Amino acid sequence: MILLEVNPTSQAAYVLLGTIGMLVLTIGLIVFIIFHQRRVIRFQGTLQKMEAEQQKMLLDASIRLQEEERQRLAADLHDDAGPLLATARLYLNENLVNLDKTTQLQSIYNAKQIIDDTIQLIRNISHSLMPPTLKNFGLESALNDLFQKITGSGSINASCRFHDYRERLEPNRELIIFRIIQELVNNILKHSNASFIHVTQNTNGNKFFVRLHHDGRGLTQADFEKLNKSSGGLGLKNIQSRLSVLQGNIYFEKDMSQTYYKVTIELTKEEGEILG
Amino acid sequence: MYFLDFTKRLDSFSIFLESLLVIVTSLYYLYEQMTTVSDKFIYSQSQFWIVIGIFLYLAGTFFLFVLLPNMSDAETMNNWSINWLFNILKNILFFIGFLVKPAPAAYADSVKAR
Repeated sequence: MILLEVNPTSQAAYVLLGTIGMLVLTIGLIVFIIFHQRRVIRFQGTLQKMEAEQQKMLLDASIRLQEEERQRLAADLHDDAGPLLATARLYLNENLVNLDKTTQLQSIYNAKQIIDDTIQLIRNISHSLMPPTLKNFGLESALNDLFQKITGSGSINASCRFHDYRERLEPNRELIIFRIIQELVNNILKHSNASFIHVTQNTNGNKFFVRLHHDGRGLTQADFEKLNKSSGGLGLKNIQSRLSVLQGNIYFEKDMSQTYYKVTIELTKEEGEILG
Repeated sequence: MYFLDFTKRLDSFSIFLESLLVIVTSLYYLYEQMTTVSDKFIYSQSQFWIVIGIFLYLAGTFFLFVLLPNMSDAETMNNWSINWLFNILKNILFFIGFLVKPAPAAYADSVKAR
């Protein structure tokens, strides 16, 4: 209608208005694309920064955990093995001073007892570093072993059942899963006040699932993510960094019945681990 | 006057088709740039300036060339400045395109946005 008011017969008005329209559209489009792209790049930058921060926190957690483990080892060796060996040395020294046969035999016997204790202690330390059952018999046996010890303490009933574990995962993947379960069980023992822990395993296609149920106070996914982003929650960060090595996922949820807490670890099986 | 004589012989329909094809191709390029996530700003690439130069020129002169056969000589002469204006604009954009140095990428490959 505007065109008609300007000059109904003139083509020039159409050309002018059409050109202005096209110009406005074109410039609008270009400006929109530029601003959209700038926003995307800025968003991407923020995302990368957040990812880098998360990675740094995971790395810090794993370094701190290593340091703690070293300190624990040093303390075990220094406080337990050190004095035992020093005492054994004292008994053996006594042999050099005391020439009485009976006293010598007694001190040798005492030294032997102490050396036996030291051997047992060192064995315990080495088992806590790398459980031999895990290496020799696999994840299922190692977990059964661990749970037997926990149940044996009498405070909590721990059990595990593997439904489909005919073919073992790769040893280093098994070790990482074992460590994750160990950390989760530790957390349950420390914080949840649960009366039982039950671990089940099953597979679905090339997915490998380990589920852990307990009836104490637990975490939901939101709690886990919150703790993971905070400066605390060293154990949880460690779980996250171990899982990122496995490229797996972990889900914390409350059971349908709202009575139990459930933790699901999900992994994708690797080529050699899939059953034919 | 040479221009005016020349424009009379222009085939309006083929120009319309050509403009449409190039505009659609330019729009496709801009769409691709929008959906491809890259850490390089779009205006730090010389091809962006070349494409918007062509795009602006063809979009701006679209109506002029399409309606050219229906215009009188006087009208054509009056409106021919539109062609010059957009031609100058296109050349300026080309010039900027030739001057722009590609920014080094922070990471090698750009990822397709999902």
